[in-house]
Amino acid sequence: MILTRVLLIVVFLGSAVGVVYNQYQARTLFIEMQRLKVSLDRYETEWGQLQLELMTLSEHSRIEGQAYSRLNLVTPKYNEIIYIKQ
Amino acid sequence: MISSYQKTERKTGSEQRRQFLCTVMFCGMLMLLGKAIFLQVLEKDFLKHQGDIRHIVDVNVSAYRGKIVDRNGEPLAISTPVKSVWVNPKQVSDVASQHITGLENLLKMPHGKFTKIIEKNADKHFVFLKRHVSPVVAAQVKALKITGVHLDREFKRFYPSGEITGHLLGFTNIDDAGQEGLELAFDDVLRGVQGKKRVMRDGKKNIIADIEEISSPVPGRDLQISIDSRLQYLAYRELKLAVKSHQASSGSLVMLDAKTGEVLAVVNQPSFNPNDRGDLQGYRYRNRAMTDVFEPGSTVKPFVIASALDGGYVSANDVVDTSPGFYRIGRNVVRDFRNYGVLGLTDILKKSSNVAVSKIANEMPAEEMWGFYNRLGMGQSAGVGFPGEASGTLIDYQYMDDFEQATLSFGYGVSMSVIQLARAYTALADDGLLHSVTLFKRDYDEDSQRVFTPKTASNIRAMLEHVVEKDGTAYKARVAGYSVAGKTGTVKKIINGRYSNEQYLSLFVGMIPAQDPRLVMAVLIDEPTVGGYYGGAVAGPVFSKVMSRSMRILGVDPSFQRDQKKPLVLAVQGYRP
Repeated sequence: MILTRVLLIVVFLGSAVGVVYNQYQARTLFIEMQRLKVSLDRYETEWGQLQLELMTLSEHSRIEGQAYSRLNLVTPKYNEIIYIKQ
Repeated sequence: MISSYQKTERKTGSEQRRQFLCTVMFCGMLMLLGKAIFLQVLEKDFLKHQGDIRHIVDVNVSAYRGKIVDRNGEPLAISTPVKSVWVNPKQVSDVASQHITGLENLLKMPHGKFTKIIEKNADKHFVFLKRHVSPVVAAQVKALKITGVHLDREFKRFYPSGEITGHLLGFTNIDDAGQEGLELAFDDVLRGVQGKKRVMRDGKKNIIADIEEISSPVPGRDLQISIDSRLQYLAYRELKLAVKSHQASSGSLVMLDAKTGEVLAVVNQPSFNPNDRGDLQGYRYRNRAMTDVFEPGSTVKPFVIASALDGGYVSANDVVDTSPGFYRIGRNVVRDFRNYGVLGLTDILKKSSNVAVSKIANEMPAEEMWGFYNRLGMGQSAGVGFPGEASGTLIDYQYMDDFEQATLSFGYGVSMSVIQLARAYTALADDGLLHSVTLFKRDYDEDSQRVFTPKTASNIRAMLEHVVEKDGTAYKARVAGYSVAGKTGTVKKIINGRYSNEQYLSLFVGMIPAQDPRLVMAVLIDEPTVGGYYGGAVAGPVFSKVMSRSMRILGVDPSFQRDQKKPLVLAVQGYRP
C-alpha cells in the first residue's frame, strides 16, 4: 500500500517535471524558430535584391554596350571569319 | 483605574470594530459581485469585442508567384519580397512633425498628405500609404517608429527584359494576379496558394507572436517558355530600329523553330515597359503578332505553287505566259508590276507575278485550293493559347468565283496574324509538315500534319532561294554564309473599305538555312512612310540582321552550296555560345 503510494508520488513528480521541461523546450524552440524565420525573411529579401542586380547587370543591351564601348569589341564580318573543320 | 477604564473601552471598541469590518467586507463583496455582474452581463459585448482585438487572429501569408524563365533558364519575370506601408489612422496621435515630414519624404508624398490621409480615413483601421517599397526604404520607415504606421510583406513582380518581353509576358496587378499575356493565360500555374497562420496581436495590431501555422503558403510553379531571350533581344532591337527608321506605325516579328514549332521570339512595336506602367494605353500593350490580322499578300504565293505541284496541276518545268502584264477575269483585271513575259515557276516567285499565280490558281478547283489553305491553318487560330489570339478569316470556297480565287492566290480575301503566317511556312520548312506552335519548350512536335509532299516542299524552298538573289525581290534579306529561302509581300491596306495606294504593309517570311531550315521568321512592318515600302526593302533587312546573328548564337553550320569561296568549315567542337 505504502509502496504504491510512494511509487505514484514519484511518477507524479516525474511527469510534472517532464511537463515543465517540455514546455521549456517548446518555448526555446519556438524562440529559435522565430529567430530563424526573421533571418530567412531577410535572406529572401537579399536574394531578391541580388537577383535583380544580376539581371540588371547581365541585360543583353548592357552587355552589348559594354562590349562595344568599353572593350572595343567588334562583330567580325563574314569574310573575316575562318572556320576550322574538326 | 485607568486600566479598568481602558479594558471596558477596548471591549466595546473591539465589538464595534468587528461589526464595522464585517460591514465593510460585506460591502466589498457586494461591490465585487456587482462588478462581476456588470462585466459578465452588462458590458459583455464591449469587452468581448475588445478582447477579440487583442486576441488571436488568423492572417493570410502571401505565396510566392512562380518565375517565368526562358528556354535556357534565364529569368524573364520574377517576384521579390517588398514591403508595403500602411497606417491605422485610429492609432495615430501626436506624431512629431519632423517624423511626418521624414515619412512623406521617404514615400515621396507631397507635404501634408499624411495628415490629410489620417483625417479623411479617421474611422478606418487600415489604409495603405504606399505599396511595394524597396527594402531600404522600408527599413528607414521602420526606424521612424511612428505609432500606427506598419509594414507588411508582399511580392512585387519584376521583368528584367522590360519592353523586350512586355507583350508576351503581360503583367500582374498590384495584388500579384495576372492581367495580360502569359501572366494572365497561365495565372493558375504561376499563382501560389495563400497560406494562413494564427498569430497573437496586441491592441495596436502588432503581431507579437506566431502561434501556429494553419496552412503553409504553396508557392506557384515556375513556367519555362520556349523563348530564347538572346534571340528575343536581337529581334526586338532590329524591329524597333526598322520601325523607327521607316517611321512605320507598328511592326511585328515571329521566329519559330522549324522542326518543333516552338516560338523562339515574338516581338512587336510599339511596346511598353511592364515594370513601369504609368501611362499604359491599349494600343501599346496589344501583342499584335498574335492578335492582329492582315491580308498576307504575296507571301502566300509559294503555297499556291506548292498546292498546284502536289495536285498535279503544274509540273516543275512548266512555264506561264504573263504577257501583257495583266489578266482579265470576267469584269475584273489582275495586274502585275510590269509585263514579265513567259515565266518558269521559280521566276514566278522571284518576280512575284500576280498574273501567273492567278492563272495557276484558276487551273485548280476552288475547293482543292481552299483545302490547302485551310490545312495551312488559315481561318483557324494558331492554337498558342495566348489571350485574344486571332484566328483570321478565309472565305468559303462555295461562294468563290474565279476572280476571288485569283485574289486568294496572291493573298487577298484571306486574313491572318503574323504567327499564323510563320506557322504556315513551317509546312515548307520542314518538308511538308505543318507544325503546331507552342510557347513551351519541347523537343518534338506530336501534332504536326502533312500538307505537302517532301519533294514539293524542298522544290519550293529551292525556288525561294532565288528571291534573295540580286535580281529577286528581297536581295536585302540575304544572310552572309547561309542560304535563305523567303518571300516578300507588299500589301495594300484597306482604308475605308477600299484598297489604299498610299498605305502598305511590308512583309517578309523566310527560312534559314534553305536546304534544311532551322528557323522560320515572319516580319511585318505596318505603314512604313520613309525609305520605301516594298517588303524586300523594309522587312527584308530585319530578317537579314536578326538571322545572321541568330545563326551564330545557335551555332548553325554555314551553308556553302552557293558560296564556295570559303575553304573549309564547320563548327569547332564544343562551340556552344
